Amino acid sequence: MVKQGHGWRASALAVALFLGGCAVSGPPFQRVQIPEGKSVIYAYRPSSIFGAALKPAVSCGAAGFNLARGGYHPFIVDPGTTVCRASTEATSEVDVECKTGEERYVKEEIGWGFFVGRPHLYVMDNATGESEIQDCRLQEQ
Amino acid sequence: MQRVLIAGIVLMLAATALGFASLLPLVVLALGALGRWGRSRLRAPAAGLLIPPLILGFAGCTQVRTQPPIEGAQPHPLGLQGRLVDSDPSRLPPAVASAVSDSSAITFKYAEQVKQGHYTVPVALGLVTSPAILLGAPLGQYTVNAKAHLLITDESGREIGKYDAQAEVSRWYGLYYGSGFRDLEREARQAVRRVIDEALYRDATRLQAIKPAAPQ
Repeated sequence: MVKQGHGWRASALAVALFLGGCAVSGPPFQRVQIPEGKSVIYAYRPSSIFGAALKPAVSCGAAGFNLARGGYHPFIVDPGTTVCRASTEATSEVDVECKTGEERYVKEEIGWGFFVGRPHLYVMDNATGESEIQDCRLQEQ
Repeated sequence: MQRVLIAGIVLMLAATALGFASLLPLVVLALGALGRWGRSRLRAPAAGLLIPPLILGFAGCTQVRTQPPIEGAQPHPLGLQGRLVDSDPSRLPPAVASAVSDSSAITFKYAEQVKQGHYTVPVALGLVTSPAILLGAPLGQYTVNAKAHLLITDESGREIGKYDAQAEVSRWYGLYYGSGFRDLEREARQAVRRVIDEALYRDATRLQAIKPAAPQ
């Protein structure tokens, strides 16, 4: 009986450590100062237990970043159309159109994959993006 | 039996954390625990036969909804040229693109607006139905809604023509099929441009008869 109890606790502890170590602990959302003649794309990933162990590489333009659950990262980009990508065993791509001085929001979610979860990127309208990103924390390299 | 259960739960949690659809280890464990019952009823070759029809069924399942096509709207020159204002020259309906002239007194103002939507199968349902997902059952649906607006005015700002179009393109996706938003967005944009073109071709006779008003 004692052995079985230890088995449950050890499993629960392992899973808790596994998942707990993946959350982002940076400062809460704050707008960045957009440089002259540039735009900003906020890539964010709401906190969810699904795919919690994954940190897919997200890139917008030339810059790339590994986004963990509950994290966000601002990408300073040139105005025009920027391609944002996220990859694991499959790649998700979206075109984001930005005007000078404008901010846009791209949401990342993890869906089912064959061997590992697949990222899905969505261009959000600014009202929804701004509301959802409030729960995310800045992820620094 | 209890160890099998613990292993199963740990596997399921790991699968959730990793988005790992291949829950086959769990299925194998469960079947192993169930012994002869599982072995006698597992018909892997028969299950394999289900994969192609499932994939084909959903992979080709794209829905495009636009306004009804306009009868008799054949492509032809508009007989009208216009200057492009506040518009992206790389994203125009063919009829407008072929009628752009910087020296014209008439102006074209064209805008497209695209909105993405998606539906994802809930995680809990995915966990329960993971064998079906592996066989090709859909994981979700992408939808792109496009709207287009074309305004034609003369030099005095008088409205000559106003055209609106709307299209919705949606597609299911699964582990082995389905494209992303970029493809759907392209299809949705093409659909609204086609509708604008059809409306312009239909209206071409009226547009040709309009003479620009004198500037005020």
